[in-house]
Amino acid sequence: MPEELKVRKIECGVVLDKLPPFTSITALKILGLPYNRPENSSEYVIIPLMNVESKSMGRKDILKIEGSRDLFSLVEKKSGALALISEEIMINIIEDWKVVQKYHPNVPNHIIGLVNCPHYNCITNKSKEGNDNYSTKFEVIQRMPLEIECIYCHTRLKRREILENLIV
Amino acid sequence: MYAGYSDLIVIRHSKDGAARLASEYSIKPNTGEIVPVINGGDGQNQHPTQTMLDLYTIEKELGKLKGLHIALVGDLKYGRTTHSLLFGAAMFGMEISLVAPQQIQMPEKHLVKVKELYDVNPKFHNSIEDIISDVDVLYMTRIQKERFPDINEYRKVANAFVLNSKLMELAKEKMIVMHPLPRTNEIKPEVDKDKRAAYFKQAENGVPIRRALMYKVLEVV
Ligand SMILES: [Zn+2]
Repeated sequence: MPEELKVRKIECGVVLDKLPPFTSITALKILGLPYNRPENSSEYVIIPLMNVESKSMGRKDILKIEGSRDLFSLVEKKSGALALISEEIMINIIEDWKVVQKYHPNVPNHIIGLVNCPHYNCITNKSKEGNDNYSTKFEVIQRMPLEIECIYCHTRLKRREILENLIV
Repeated sequence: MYAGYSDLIVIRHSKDGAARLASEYSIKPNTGEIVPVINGGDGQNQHPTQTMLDLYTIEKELGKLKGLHIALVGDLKYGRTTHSLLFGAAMFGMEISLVAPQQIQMPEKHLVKVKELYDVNPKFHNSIEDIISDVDVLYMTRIQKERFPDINEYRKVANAFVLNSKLMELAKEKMIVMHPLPRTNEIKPEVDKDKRAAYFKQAENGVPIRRALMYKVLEVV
């Protein structure tokens, strides 16, 4: 894999492979890792590779994060949200320079607090009073291709709209 | 918190999904007892008790539901009563026509769902005149000027969705005109005297229907 050679291997951390092109920053946002502010600090080394060539996908992103074992549970906890980007993503867990585990993320049946409902009159959209703070809830209507429905106002979202409305 | 004070909550709200959200919190704090929530109309979404009284009215006036042709007229985009009635009419095997200006036709999300649930494909029309001779139920709703970005757009189309005595001459002998009320000028007052005008009876039918619903959810009967 020539693209693997573009950056060095990591000792401990995670590699998100097979991200659709230009989604590595979205993945960073989902993981809650700093990506755009110089004043943020982190002990992690973050290596986004964008729009590299891929045999199976044509083009793809790769996101390498080197740090501690804390990353393993963080990625697992956020895997439902990562699956909203794509269920084809390959999550590689790296220890001692070696891949010790690989898995694809799954979209959960109930998507709670991950996506804003775009319908302006939906109860989950903040009122002018502004003090209500309810989680959005969507149900999966269809997996291939992905389509989800707001349980409150029944607005349906496809993949592109889901990504536009991600809560990150 | 209202669950602590009451045995039944009826919520009418300007936001879509308000009743559904309320139902997630309607538990008595002391006993954990669940308090039923009735949706009295939520935003632009649904108005299920209106649909119950609508179906009751049709059955009472025309003797059946299955196979009858209903036309929903007016603001089908924002009008929650027509959203619920679309599902209710489909559920009971009615034939459905949707009569509205293009800008305020039935939202796609409801059409997709009613197709999935009941395999019903409503027909679309641009004026009452197109359809009135064929319907058993003409279900009128109010069109609000504010829904149109341009008042001239509104003026252009509004007349095709107003019912008067002249149009009623084209209608079947045995049919009914309904309206969730309050009406503005979409049904001319001259129509009120027509024996096919059922909207005042319809409104009155809301009393026994909502009473029955409350009895049912409180399990008094
Ligand atoms: Zn919604």
